Amino acid sequence: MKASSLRTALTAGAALSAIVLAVSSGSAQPKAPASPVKMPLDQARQTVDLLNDVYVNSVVLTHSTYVKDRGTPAAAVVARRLFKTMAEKGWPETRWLSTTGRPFNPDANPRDAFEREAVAALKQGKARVERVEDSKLRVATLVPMVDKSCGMCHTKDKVGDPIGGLSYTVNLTSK
Amino acid sequence: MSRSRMIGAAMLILLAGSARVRGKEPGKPVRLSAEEAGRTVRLLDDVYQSAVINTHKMYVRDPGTPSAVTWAKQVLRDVNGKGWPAARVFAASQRPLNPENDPADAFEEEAVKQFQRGQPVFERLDGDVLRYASSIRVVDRSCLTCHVHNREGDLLGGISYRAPLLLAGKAALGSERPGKAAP
Repeated sequence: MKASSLRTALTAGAALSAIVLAVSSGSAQPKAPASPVKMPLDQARQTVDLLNDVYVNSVVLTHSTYVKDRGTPAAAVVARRLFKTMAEKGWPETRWLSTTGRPFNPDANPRDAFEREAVAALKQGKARVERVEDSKLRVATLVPMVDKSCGMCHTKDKVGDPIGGLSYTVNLTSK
Repeated sequence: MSRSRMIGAAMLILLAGSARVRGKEPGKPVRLSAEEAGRTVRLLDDVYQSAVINTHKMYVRDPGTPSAVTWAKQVLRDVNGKGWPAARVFAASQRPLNPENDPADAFEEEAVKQFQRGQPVFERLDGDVLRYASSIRVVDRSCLTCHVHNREGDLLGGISYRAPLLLAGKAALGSERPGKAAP
């Protein structure tokens, strides 16, 4: 190391102590939420598309594999836990959005202007709505009533009805 | 109505019928920059590892219930089929519960060796493909419902990922998860 690189040494020292701290704090206690990941707009869009494919597939398969009666936890509930875990790790935030105004969980009602407008568009059958605001990419995707098995709990809706969606928020890197 | 307009109208109806759930159309594998590939395999790993644990805890009570790994393998097949960086479950044991889970190639065999030495993840570039693997261990007693010959902490296997890159070896590996990346 060159004598001039005191700053590098200090930075390395700080990084090392951060690692030592991280290791000594152990894994027994729950981890503090990681600072949210930021990415350029095109990558943010692609990441939402990927997450949406994973989440929608996993919900449909959870339902068909495990949910046999109304006593079993709904696939949407286990998905919500997964969204929480992912957000705690710093990955894009995801939440359920109800378009019906009568969700099982009131958390799924739209919370802000973007979600209210998104719900209006999803109800018309639009598959995806997006907006960039406050250095964030907001995306809402339609999750319709996929098949008759959904009707086990969603008794007031028909197959194909645009009853719900997923709302994503991704932090963007500044240009 | 002219013939071309009829064809146009028919295509619109087809599109409207098929595109209710938006997702990547099945097709060519996506190619990513090295940085994006590094981040994407870590994102997939966090989502799949968390999903398996959540699903296991929520639904799997006895060996008669499909295991969370069996469920996850179906999710992986569906998501892989759309051309996203592909994921695969593999076993570390000489006697996996399912022989199709044997390590598929030299990378997965090396990953098993690294896991056995205590490394939680292993990654390397194979030509223009980023390979990444993370370990799966017996996290608590509930795993022993099916893995009857194991104990807590035992290595069971891992999930391996392949992400094709835009440009081979263009950038260094080691993209981090959120919170650890450079600001």
